[in-house]
Amino acid sequence: MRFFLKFGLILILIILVTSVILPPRYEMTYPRDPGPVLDRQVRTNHLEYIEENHPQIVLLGDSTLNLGLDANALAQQTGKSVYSMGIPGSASALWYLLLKNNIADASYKPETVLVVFRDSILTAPGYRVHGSYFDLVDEYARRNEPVLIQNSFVNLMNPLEVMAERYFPLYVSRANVRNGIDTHVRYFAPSLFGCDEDCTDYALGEVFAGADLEPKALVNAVGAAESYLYTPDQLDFDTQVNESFLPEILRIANENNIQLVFVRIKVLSHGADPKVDAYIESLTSYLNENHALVLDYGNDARLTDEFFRDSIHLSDQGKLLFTQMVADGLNGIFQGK
Amino acid sequence: MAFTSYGFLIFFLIVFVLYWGVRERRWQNLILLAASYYFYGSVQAWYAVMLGVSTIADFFLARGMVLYPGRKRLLMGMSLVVNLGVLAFFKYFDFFSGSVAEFLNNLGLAADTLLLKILLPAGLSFFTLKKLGYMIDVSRGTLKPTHTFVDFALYVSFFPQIVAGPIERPQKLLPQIEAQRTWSADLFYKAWPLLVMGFFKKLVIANSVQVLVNRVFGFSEPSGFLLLSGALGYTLQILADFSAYTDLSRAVSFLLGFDTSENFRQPYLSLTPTDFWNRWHISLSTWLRDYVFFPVRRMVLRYKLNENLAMSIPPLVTMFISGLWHGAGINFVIWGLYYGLLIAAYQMVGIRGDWKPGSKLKTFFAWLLMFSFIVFGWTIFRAPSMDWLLHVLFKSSFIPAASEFTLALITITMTLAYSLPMLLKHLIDRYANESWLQAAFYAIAFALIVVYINSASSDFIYFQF
Repeated sequence: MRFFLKFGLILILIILVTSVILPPRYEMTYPRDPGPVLDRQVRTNHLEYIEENHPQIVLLGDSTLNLGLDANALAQQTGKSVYSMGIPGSASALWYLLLKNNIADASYKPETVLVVFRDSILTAPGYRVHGSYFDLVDEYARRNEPVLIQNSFVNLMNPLEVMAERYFPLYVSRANVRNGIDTHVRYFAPSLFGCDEDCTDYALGEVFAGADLEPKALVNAVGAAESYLYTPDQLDFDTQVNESFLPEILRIANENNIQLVFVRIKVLSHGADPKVDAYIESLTSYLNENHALVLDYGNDARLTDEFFRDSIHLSDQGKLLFTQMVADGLNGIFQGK
Repeated sequence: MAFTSYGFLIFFLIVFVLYWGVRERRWQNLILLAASYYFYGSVQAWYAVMLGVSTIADFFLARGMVLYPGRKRLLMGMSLVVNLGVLAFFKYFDFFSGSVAEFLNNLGLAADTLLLKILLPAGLSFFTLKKLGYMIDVSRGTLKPTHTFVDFALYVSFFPQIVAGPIERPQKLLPQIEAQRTWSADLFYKAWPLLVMGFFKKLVIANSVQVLVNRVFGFSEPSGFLLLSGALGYTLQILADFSAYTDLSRAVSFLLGFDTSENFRQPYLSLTPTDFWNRWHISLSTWLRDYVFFPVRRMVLRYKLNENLAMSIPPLVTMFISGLWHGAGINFVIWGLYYGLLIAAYQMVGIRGDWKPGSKLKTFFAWLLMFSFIVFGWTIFRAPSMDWLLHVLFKSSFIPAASEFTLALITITMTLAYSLPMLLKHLIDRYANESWLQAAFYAIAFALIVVYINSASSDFIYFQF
């Protein structure tokens, strides 16, 4: 018991000291609202492009869009100007921000916005918003984004986390403190060999961005990341939809007279699954009820395995084929079929 | 449901309150049994069904051994077939699912390979050994089978141990299940240091190191130096991860009034391979020693073989089985045989488990050599495939390119930095037990858990076995 008391006393001391030191250091006041703090800047490069070039169709999506749809070919095949806003590593949170802060805020509004998605990603607001993905989200977010904070962060916290976020400075500052520890560890040894911080960052960037991955490790890494989209919770459409950005995305598009077309792309990372089919059925009904259109190529037999470069990305040949398929679909829509 | 998840916290709080609320042993056991099946079935309901069916089978087979002593061998054989059959099916079925699909397709039957992909139920390897130990002891007459089904079922499914051990012997756990248990603050005082260290090793050490380790072992062709750095990182990661699980398991057991076994005793301070296996995953190595090594040795002695051969066969067979137990991959088999060969080789030169070097210098070199063997062993264990490992060892350059060299340096620094707390803990435990210094260590560890905590912590490595 005495030993536990000693531990408790020191722990209280640590908590008190950090509660005094950390808030001014990271400019925080307590109690605070749970969730991350967004910076004041918002990137508007796409807004500027849209205002200057007046594209008729804007494409939204992640790397599966960049590697799956050729904007120039699509423009030729549909006869409309096309601008692609595919951002690798993005997901529904970022697409919501792009639609709100870059597309809807532009003085010119495109006729159609095409959202290229896979399976349950549209109703997974917590997907790709943490760690380095947060920096990407923060780039396109304004200082005050209550929907983003609520859907992507607060709704996913358990009650203990919410309390800790409100009242516990050490917990809220954990990313900064950890970054401080990791920074010391990361730069120490290379500096002994004359490699300074820039040199180390460059080397790490080169190593981590390189495609020199063992195939099994690559499949495992993609599979692990994608598995989040196929958990029972994520495939429960009725529960997820109200917690997602979808209602806001639809509202913004409808208020700005933008026709939303959701294009479901095929992936190989998850085999045939009746739960996914049921989810897609509910999603399609929901989108149609809200004046959005759906082009579903998720189970399209034309996209065979040889058209893929990995489990979620199309190859160059696949890109050609998929672009043609989407163009046909869009032309059908434009001709009122 | 990982021990480090919020879901487990809620689950445990409910179980804890109900369990100590009822006081009556029979009810306590029933609550624990229900909780264990819920815990296990929460991953997949049919896991719990399978566990239940095999438990019923073993309970009655064990009772049958007492009622019909003349049929002991037959009943034991049936238990072996059931337990090893289920284990083999789930562990090795993946290997053959492609061929089965092809065979069914040839017969004109539609067979989706994905449907044939049977997942290994978590913890199957662990509770199978638990049951087998019980059955063998009953058949040998060294253990009286329990009369109460609930007690036996709880022994098999005890939730703090079901997913990744320790593989508790019936002689230790069953008497505790059969005895009256009352709450005392002492249980908490035994549990909290284990809780702190379990969370610390998992969230702070293992999860931090694994990022770089996964990257190194994910390269298609890393240099030898980079592989060495990754192997050192994995050596730390697997100890921190697995011992964290054991610490949490023991802490949870203490909070429920059970004293369960230690699984690790500073394994990386070992001087010989036998010494290593006496300190690493102790509950598995003692199980293998008692139920595989000793019987094989007795059998070998009967045949009066050449001394070196007689000395080599038991460790080779035992470690081969240990490798197979870890997984169906060829890596695991080679890893097991590697240790079998090491143990045999050390024994042949006269170095056994109780060997003590004559001087500090000898001790240091013996440790260094053994540590190198351990690191190489983990390299085999962690490599994505044997082809990959052989390619890196024999065809890749040892000297890395500039960026790889930087990554290797960072991996080594990170491994050293994150191993320091474990070394410090060892020294404090040894020289300053229950002091202010030790209390400060735990308090700082707790603060670091808060800093490193992440809502999406990855699973414990040993869940996959």
